Amino acid sequence: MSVTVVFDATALTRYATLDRGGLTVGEVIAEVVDDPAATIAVPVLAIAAAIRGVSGKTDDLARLARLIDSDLTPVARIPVGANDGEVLGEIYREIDDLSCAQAAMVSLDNHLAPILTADGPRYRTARLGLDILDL
Amino acid sequence: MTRRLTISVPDDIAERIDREPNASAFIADLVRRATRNEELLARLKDELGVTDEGVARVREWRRRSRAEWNTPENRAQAAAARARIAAIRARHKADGGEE
Repeated sequence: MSVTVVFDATALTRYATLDRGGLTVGEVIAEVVDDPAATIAVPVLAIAAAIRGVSGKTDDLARLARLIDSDLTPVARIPVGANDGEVLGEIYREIDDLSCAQAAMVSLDNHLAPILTADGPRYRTARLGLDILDL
Repeated sequence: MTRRLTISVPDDIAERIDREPNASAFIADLVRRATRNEELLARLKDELGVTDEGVARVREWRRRSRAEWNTPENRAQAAAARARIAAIRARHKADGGEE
């Protein structure tokens, strides 16, 4: 699997709600599908946070569900492994958000694939050398 | 249900297909992905108003972002972060954690 970009919870939420930056998320998806080998990494904790963020809004939830369905979009759901707790905890301490910590871990584990986010300062403050695409 | 097809492809494509243990499955997967991506692009255009110009703008933005990221400071920070992660995982493994 070649991870082209990581979507964090804010990217998922902006797309689902068509809020500011939602169009940009769609454009990134469209750009990624040009490459048949490309994959959008979606950390499961980002999905959980996004579901919480759009709960109760049926259309937004449906849009989010289509985005994270690998039959419809070139996404790979990245689980939290049984041995990820220590690393996640270390990054969580610096980033102060658990779903963002997993997005950072996924990026660091995948050749520093850029993270699409509306929460760029949080990642930069952690000084992990991440490539951030600001929505 | 499946159908047997006889197709003609250029030599370089045939050589690539020949490397696959199951050529039929390989081609079917590629066609499914192409179909999925066509449908996805149509949906993005209809639902969000994504345009070819917007996609080109994003491509340039991503290229520029990567170039701007590529500084000695960022590379050093990333290398340090990855080394720390590797050390944590090695320690965990040595303490009897699962692979």
